[in-house]
Amino acid sequence: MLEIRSLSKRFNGIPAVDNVSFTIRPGEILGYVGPNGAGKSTTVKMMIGLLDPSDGEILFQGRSISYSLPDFQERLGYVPEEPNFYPYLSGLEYLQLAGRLRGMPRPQLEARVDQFLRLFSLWHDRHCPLSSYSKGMRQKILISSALIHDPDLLILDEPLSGLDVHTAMVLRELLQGLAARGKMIFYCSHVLEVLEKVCNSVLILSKGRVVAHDSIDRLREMLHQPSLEGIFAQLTRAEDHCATAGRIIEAMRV
Amino acid sequence: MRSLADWWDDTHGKPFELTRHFLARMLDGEWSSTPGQWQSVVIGGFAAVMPTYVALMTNGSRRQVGQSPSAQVLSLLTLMFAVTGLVALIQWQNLFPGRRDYLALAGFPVRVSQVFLARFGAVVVFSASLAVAMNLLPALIAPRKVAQFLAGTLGCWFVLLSVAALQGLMLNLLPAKIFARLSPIVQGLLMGALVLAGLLSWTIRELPAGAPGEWAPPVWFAGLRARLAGGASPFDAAMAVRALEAWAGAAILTAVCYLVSFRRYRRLLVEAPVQVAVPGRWRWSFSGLLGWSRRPRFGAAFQFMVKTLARSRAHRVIWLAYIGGAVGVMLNSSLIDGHLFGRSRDLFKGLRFIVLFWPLGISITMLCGFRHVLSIPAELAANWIFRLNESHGREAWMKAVERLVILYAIAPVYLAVTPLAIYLLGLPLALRMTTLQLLTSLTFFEFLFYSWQQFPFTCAYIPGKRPLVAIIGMYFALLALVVPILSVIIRAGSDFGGLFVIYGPIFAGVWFWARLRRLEGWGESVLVYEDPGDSMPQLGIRELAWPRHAKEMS
Repeated sequence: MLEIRSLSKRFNGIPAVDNVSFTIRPGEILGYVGPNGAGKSTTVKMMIGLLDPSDGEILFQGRSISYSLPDFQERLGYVPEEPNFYPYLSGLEYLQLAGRLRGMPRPQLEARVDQFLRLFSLWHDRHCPLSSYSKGMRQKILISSALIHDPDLLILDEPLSGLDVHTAMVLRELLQGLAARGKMIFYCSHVLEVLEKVCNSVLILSKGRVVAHDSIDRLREMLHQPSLEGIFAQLTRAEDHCATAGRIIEAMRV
Repeated sequence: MRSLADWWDDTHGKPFELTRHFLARMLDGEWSSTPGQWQSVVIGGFAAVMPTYVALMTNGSRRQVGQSPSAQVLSLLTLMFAVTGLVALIQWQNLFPGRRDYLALAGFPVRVSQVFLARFGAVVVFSASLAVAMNLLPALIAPRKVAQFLAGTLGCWFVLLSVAALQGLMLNLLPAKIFARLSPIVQGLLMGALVLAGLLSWTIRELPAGAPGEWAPPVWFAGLRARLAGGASPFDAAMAVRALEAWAGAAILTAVCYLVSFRRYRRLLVEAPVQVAVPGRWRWSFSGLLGWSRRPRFGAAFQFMVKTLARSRAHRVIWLAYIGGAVGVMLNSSLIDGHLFGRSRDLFKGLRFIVLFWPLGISITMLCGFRHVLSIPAELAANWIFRLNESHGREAWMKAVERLVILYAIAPVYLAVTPLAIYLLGLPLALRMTTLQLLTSLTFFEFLFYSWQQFPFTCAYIPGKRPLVAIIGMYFALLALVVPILSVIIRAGSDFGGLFVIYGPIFAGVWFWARLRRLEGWGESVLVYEDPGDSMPQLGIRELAWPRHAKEMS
């Protein structure tokens, strides 16, 4: 089980994430959603150990990850929002690096790399540098890298970004299959329709604070909204969309 | 029994895997668009440096330049240290883990300290290998082979470790903002100093005994070589001790910097907010004035280029290296002239030499440098902004390139030197000379940018297409032959008013002809976003070639 307790992060005294708490149990997919600048990416960076929290702690299987971050990261698969990798590595080399850093023995690593490259239709481009890959191809490499060691916990930050419709559908099915196998999945996204279909529960963040955390059905019931989009708009007190769109059109004429 | 290749392909634990990763990619970086392109650059570099070593090691060359045997050793060591230092400075970004390392390795089960240790291990192996490679051939030719090899290798290693230690010290002692700003400046200045040292290595006649020569690292390692070869003087023995102390000091300092800086460096790279200068209420900046135009496309293109030059680290470093190189070459020419620093000291004659030879030499080096810098991409994927507007305002964009190069590569040189020329030569003579020099620099610009078809900082770039020997040969021909000959012609043409009446129109005519030739069809030319070559990742616009260019290629 992954447990986040009163997590906060401040930059120069300004809170980016403020007292966020939640848990993810095996077999659960938690949707993490919020407007731009709400603190989603900062939470993710703390969860993977890239940033140290200002307050609070992250517990994995009852132990704080700060005690043994590499042990936690061994069991973690992470798909970042921005594809930050070495552009001069080929797709094959990147997956080999990912597997080797996780200590996978060569026969197992080679077999899995081959399978993933073929299943994601990257086999013919495996020797091309990542700099020449399209956004979708890079995303497939990141997803492969996150799954190659069969992790217990998946942290996905906009995993569908750049993927074609077919691969996106495959990924949705895959996540539900992984959850059925007892994996914990943290799914951070702006695509509310997908969250609605994939996640068991959802956490809505606004200005660094949790404004809702429950199953989508219960939130619909409580807030009398037919969709997650309506719930999100109500809870994050978004501006009137039509009025904002109108003002943008006016600004184009100034 | 398993083969070595099998063992190498196996997984060996995080420290080994990280070190292997960093070491294999040590020479790939932001300066090249194609992975592995460094190999041709390295081969070209060796091809350029090795004949120089051989020339320095032969007795015939020594007698020709009047060197003593010890001075010959010193020349060789100075040259090797300069080359090693330049390689270390090119590798500056790879000496410590960068922001990309942190973000790319985030989520993998590795500690920050492991990343640092692996990078340190890669730097140690790389620097040791480079030091050995640099010294193998000279040691085979040299009379005292083992002594030459050991002293040279230790010296080159010392240079590499010193550069790493310098970066480590700056990293730990300076505030984050100042470090980010100062780092490329230090890198560029050191590059200039090392180019100068490499050039000066040819002019060493005697081993300098006593201050300040005894504080030059090549003197320490020349002393160590003498000590290892046997028969060292007390001075050599003292220098040998200093060489060993310096090497040990650099190694310890580098190791300490790696050990203590990883926490601070992570905060500096990952958590420090990235900001650019925000324009104040008064929005007219210097670059705004220089790039003023009634055409918005021209202004936008000019500002884009100025801001990229100011904010892109790689471009600033290369640009500073060219400036350093240009100053180094010119200082060397003044040393050969001898009036300013050397044997027949005469300040007036030395300054006259500067105003006569420097403007042309520096402006031509800067023009070549600018052409190189403009061709290196800042962010290749961003060139879609320009592709979308491909059919509009092409001429305005190219005019912006022209103004930028003239204002940043030619104008500063003449603005700095002309007042000195007026003071030394009087107004009429200085004006005649500056006019001819300026026309020559502008003509060089026309020839260099005749086939320029790309928007700066947006085109894929393959380094090492031309052999380094050919590039060095071209610079040598330009700076050692063409510039002196032109400078003498300019001097004659400005000294005698009658000749100026003839030379002036000829120089102006050549420039005007070259300019018309360059501008012909400029507005209609298609911009190119890819370097020609098969190894380039295809971006799909190669078939759109400028008709004139295509004709020339066919």
